[in-house]
Amino acid sequence: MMFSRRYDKLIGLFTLSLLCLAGIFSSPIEENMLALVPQSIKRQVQLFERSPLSQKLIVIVTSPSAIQTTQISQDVQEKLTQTGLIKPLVQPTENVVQDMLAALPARFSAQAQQIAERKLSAASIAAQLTDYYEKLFSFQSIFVSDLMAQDPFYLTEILFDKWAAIGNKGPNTYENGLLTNQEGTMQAGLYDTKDTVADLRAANRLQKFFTEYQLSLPNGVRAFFMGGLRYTLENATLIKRDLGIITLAGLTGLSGIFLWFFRTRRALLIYVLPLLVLPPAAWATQLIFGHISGITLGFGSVVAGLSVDYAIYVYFALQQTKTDEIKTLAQIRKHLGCNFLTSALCFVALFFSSVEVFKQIAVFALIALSLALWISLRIFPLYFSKQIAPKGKTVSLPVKPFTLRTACWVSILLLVFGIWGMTHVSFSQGLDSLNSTSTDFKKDKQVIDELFSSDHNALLFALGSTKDEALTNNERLSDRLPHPLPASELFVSHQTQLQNEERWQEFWNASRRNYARLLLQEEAQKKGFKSNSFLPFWQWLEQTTTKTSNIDFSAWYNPVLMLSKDLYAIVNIVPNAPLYAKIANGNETVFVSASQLQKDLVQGVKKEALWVVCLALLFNWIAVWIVFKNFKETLLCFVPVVLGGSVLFGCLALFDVQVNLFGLIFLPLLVGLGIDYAIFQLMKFHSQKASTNLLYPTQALLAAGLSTLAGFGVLVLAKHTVLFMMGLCALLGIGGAIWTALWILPAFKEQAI
Amino acid sequence: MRYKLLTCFCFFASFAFAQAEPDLLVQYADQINQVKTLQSNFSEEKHLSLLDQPIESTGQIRFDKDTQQLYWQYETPFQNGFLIEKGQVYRLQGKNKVPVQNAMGRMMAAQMVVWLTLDFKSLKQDYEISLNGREITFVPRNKAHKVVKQITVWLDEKNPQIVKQVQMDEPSGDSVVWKFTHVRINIPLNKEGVL
Repeated sequence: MMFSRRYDKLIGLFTLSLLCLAGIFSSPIEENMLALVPQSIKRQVQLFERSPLSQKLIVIVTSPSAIQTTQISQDVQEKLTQTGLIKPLVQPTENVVQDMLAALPARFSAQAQQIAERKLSAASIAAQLTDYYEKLFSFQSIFVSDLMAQDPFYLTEILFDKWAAIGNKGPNTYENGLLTNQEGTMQAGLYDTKDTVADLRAANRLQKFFTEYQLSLPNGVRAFFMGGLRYTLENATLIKRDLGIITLAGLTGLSGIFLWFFRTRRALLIYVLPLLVLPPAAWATQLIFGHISGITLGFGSVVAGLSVDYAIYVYFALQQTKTDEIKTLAQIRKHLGCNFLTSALCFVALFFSSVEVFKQIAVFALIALSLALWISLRIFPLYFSKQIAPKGKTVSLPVKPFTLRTACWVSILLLVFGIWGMTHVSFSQGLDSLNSTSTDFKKDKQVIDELFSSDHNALLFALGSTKDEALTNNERLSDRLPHPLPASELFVSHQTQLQNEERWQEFWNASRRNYARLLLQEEAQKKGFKSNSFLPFWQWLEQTTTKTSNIDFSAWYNPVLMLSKDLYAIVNIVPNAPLYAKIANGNETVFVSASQLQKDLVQGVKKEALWVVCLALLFNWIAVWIVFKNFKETLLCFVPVVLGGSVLFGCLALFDVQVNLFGLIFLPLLVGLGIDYAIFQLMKFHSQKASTNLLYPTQALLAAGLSTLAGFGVLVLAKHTVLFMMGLCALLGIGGAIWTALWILPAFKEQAI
Repeated sequence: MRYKLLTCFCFFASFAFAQAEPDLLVQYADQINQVKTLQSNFSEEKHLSLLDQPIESTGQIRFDKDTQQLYWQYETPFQNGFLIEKGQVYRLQGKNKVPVQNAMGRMMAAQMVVWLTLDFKSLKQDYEISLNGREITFVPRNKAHKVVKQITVWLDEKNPQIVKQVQMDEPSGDSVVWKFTHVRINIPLNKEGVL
C-alpha cells in the first residue's frame, strides 16, 4: 500500500505508457521508402518502386554449362511452385500461333500494316517459303511445321518482335520468364510471390529453401534469390545482430555513467524516463499521421538521449543545492525551458521539410520532449528532492578549460578542418547505402548486375486516371517518338483497338486476299507443298472477327500498373537516353532512370537537409536572442554547434566515410544539442554571479552528454549502414560539441561577458 | 512440349529403354551403357502432310559420352545441324557454330542429356516402354501428347548395342524415320572433340 501510494504517479504513467505501446503495435509499422523521399521526386520513386520488375522475386542460377543452368533453372522453378513460394507460372496457350494470329487484328497499327505489306510482296513470300522449306530438313522442323501451315506469311513475327522488344533486353535473351546471358551460363527467373517484398517470414522461408537446395547442387553451381525479399532478409538479419551488440554496449555505457555520476537508486528514474515518454509520443504521432514509420520509431533512441537530459539537470540541481525544492526548481526551470525551446525549434524546422518521415520525427520528438520536460519538473522532483548520499564515491571531474589563446587557436584549426571536410566529404549516390548487406549479398548483387544493367535502361511512364486513359496517353507518347514503344502496340486502348481492327479488315480486302493466295500457291507448288497446306490460314482469315486470342501478353511482364483507384500507369522500358527524358512532362509522362533517380534523391535530401539546418539555425538564433538579449552570448551559443560540426565533417572526410542520407538527418539535431550545452554553460556562468552555481555542476553536463552518446553513439558499433551512420555522426558531432562546451566555450565566455 | 520431340532425335544412340520388368530390357540397357563413343551416318525420311512427297536428308552423328559432346550434322540437301559441347548448345550453319540462346533450345538440349546419360528414371516418368524382340516401343504416358504418338526403336540383330532404325509417329499422321548405317562404337574420336 505504502509503495503504491508513494509511486502512484509513476505507476499511472507506466500504465499509460503500456497502453500506448499496445496502441502502436495494433497497426502495422510503415516500412515504405516513400516516406523518406522529398516531395519533388516522390512520384518518380513511387513509380519506380511499383514498376513490374521491382516486385519480382529473382532467382539466379549460375553454372559452367548452359545445359546444366537450364536444367537447374527448370528444377528450381518447379520446386518453388510446388512449395508455394512462387505463384504458378502462366503456361503458354495450347496453340500459340493461332492465338498470336488472333491477337493481331486488335494490334494492327499503321506500322504493322507497313510490315505486313512488305511480307506479302512476291519476293518476301518466296523467301519465306524457302526458309520454311529448308527448316523442314533441319532439327528445327518441329518448330516450323505448325507455324507454316497456320501462318505462311509469318505475320505473327510482327507481334513476336514487339513482345520480345518490350523488355529492351540488350544482348540477353528473355523467354518464358527466364533471362539468360549470352553464354547461357547464367539464368534469372522472374517470379511473382504471394507475399509482399517486406514480409520477413516469407524471406526466411525462401532463405531456408535455397540453403537446402544449394546443398543438393554439384560444385561450381549456385542458385540464389534476389529482389525485395532478399533486401528485407539482409536488413533484418543485420539489424537483429546489431541490436544485441548495441543493447549490450548501450547498457554497459549507461551503467558506467550511472556508477560514475549517480550511484543512488532514485537516479535510476532518469533512465526510466524514455520508457514513459516514447510510447505516448509514438502513439500520438501514429494517430496524427494515420501510421508511423519504423524509422521514426528508430529515432526514439535519439529522443531518449535528449529527454534524459532534463531529468539529469533536475536531479543534480536538487541534489547539489541546499535551498528548498520549489526555489531550486523555479531557478532551473528557465534553463530547462531554454533547452526545450532550442531542441523543439530544431524539430519544428524539421516539420517544414517535405520528407514525411522528417515531419513524423518532428511531431514525435516534440511530444516526447514536452512530456519529458513536464515529468522532469513535475513528477521526478517528488522522488529526487530528498538528498541522499551516493553509495560509494562518485567521480569529481577535473575539467580545466583552455586559455583564451589556446581556445582561439584550437577553434581556428577546427574551423579549417571543418571547411576542408565539408568540401571533401563524399555522399553515397546509391539507394543501396540505405540497405545494409553482407559480403555474400554484395557478391550476388554483382552477378545480378551483369544481367540487369540499370545504367542502360530507364522507365517511361504514361499516366491516366483510368486504365484506358493511361493506354491512350501511352499511344500518344509513342507517336511522338521516332520509334514506337512496343508496349503501346501490344497494350492498346479501346479506341485504338477498334481502329486497328478496321485497318485489318480493310487491309485484307478481296483483291489482296486473292493476290496473296495466288503468289503463295505459285511458290508452294515450286517447293512441292500440297495445294491445301495453308488452308488453316485462309480459314482463319475468313473468321478473323469471331476469333478471340488466349494470349496474355502481361503474363511475364505486366506494364499496366494501378497506382491508386484513380491513377494508372503504363511502364515502358526504354534506353536511358536524353530523348526519352526530354519528352516527359512530369504530369502525363514521367521518365525515371535508376541512376538519375539516385542522384536526384541524394540531391533532394541534401537540399532538404540544408533547408532544415538553415531554419533550425534561424529559429534558434531568434530563440537564444530572446533568452539572452545579448549578441555575444547569442553568438557563443553557436560555438559548440559550429565546432562540433567541424569535427564531424572533418573526420568524415579524413576517414573517407561515405555519408548516406541518414547522416544528414542528424544535422538539425546537432544544432539543438550543441546550443543546449552552450546554454548550460552560459547559465552556469550567470548563476556564478548569483551564487547559484551549484545548480549547474559540470557533472550534469557530462552525464547528460555521455548519456546521449551511450544511447545514441553506440550505434557506431552497428553493421547496418543507417544505424552506423547515425551513431558515427552522434559520436563525432555530439562528442565534438560536448568537448567544445567544456573546454573551449568557457574561455570565450569569460572574455565576452 | 516441343522439346520433348527433339529428344526423340536422340534415339540413334538408343540408350533409353531400361525397365525393371523385362530382364532383357535391363540387359540391353546395361550393354548400351557400355557405349562410350559412337559414330554413324544417318538418313532421315519425313512424311509430312504439308508436302506431296516425303523428304529425305542425310548426315553424320558423333557422340562422346564421357565429354557429353554430340555432333549432329545434316549434309544433304542442306547443311545444318547442332552441336552440344562443354555444356553449351550451338546451331550449325554451314561451317559456323552459333550459340543457341533461346530457352526453348536450351531446354531441348537439357532433355537430350537426359537421354544420352541414360536417365531411365526420367524416361519412365514420361513413357510406357515395351519390348518385342529387338523392337522397343515408347508410348507417352500423356495420351493427349500433341507431338509424339509413338516412338519405335529397332536394335541391330547381331549387336544390340547398335540402333538400326528409329521411327517417330505423330498424332497428326506425320512421321519421321531415321536409319543408321556404318555405325561404329567405342572408337577414338577426334582429340579436339566430336566436331
